[in-house]
Amino acid sequence: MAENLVYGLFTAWFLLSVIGQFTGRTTSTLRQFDFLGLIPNWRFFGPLPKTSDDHLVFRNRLADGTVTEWCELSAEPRHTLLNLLWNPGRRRRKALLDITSSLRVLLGPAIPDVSVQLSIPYLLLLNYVASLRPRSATGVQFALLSTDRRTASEDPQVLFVSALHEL
Amino acid sequence: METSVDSITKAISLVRTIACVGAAIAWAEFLRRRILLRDDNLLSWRVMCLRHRALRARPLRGILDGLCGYSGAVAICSLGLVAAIVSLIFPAARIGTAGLFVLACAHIWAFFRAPQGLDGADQMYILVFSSLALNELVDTKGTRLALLVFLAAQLSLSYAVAGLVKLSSPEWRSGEALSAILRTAAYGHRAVAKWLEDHKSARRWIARLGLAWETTFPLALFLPVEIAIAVAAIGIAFHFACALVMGLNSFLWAFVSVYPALVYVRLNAWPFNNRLWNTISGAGLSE
Repeated sequence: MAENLVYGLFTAWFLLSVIGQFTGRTTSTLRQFDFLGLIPNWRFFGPLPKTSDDHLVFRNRLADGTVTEWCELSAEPRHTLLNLLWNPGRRRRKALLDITSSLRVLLGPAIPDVSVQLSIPYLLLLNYVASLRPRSATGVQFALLSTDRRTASEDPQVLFVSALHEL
Repeated sequence: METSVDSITKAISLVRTIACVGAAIAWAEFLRRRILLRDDNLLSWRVMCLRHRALRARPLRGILDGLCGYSGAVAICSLGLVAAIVSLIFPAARIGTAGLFVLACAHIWAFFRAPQGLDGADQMYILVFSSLALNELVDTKGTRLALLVFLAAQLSLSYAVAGLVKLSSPEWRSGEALSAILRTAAYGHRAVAKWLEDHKSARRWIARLGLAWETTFPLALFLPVEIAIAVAAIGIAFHFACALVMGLNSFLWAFVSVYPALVYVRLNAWPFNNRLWNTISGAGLSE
């Protein structure tokens, strides 16, 4: 009996994993309920990989009303040979990539709706940049820039500028 | 002469050993960057708990705040590291088995708390440790075989899907996507990207061979053993290259940990008698 239950669980798990690889309504519903991450997504870098770099910049409004220069969030150092065994920086790099990618999806081509400000990626970024403020800051604002090294110019393209939030 | 139980045990033991080494590194890396888990950082639970009303309802909220807040998160990451080491050192002891359950729960917890920052290797660890733990609940020869078949099938599915979704893209087929990824800061390597830029024909063939290997990977379960072994060897080289060039070190351990399952299933589920098979039989993975 217990043995059959294990066979059933492995079979069901694999079938759900297969269904999870398709795009569409069924898969979206499946993923909505998969809050434990049991259904893998094996579409690594496909079909269209992200080929640009996102840059998170922020600035503060100080108590005297002046606004600081935009400041870019420091990036993790580039890969070294040691990263073959030990690469703790990948977590932060991937977290930032996931959050900015989710925000980009929410922004879409249109002017962002104010509801974006209540989305998790927006709040994660706002919460983070707010923690980096100097003591005298009374407001914080962040922006998302993008550079694509395939283009001749590496000038960043502004994707999004947040509202100025009171602290 | 070895019994079939011995060879299954060896294959599972290899899966478990490689996965535990990888998981130990992954949890240690997480602990090294534990600042990310703080409430004022990128993976703040204070923000993540806002994603669903149920997460803020009492009494669940108190429990989740304890498990997912900074102190709880660091404790679970530490527990994951200890469980991986214990499970590696004492595979036959009860404490080692308990370690598998802790690892399964810890990896699932990480996904539940904040999927941002996790990758395909973490998904594979959820599958590996959860299925190993599930098998331990019953642990018969039948469930052991089912475990290895399940993992081999998931591994085959992962490569096939990764290959098939890229095949539809002209950017991938031309190799442009490959060098574009390698130009990014997150997964890039300037020297390799530059070399690919300068050698467009090589770039195209590397991309096409990569796609062909990924897409046809499930055939390793049916092809003659020599070819299946070659497919697996290419896989190890592929993950080694990804770790070296793109910094994806966790994929090397997570995915290669499942290779013993693939080899076992190939050798024992489709018994074509040939020279290499007999040689490997001597090494103990075949019955």
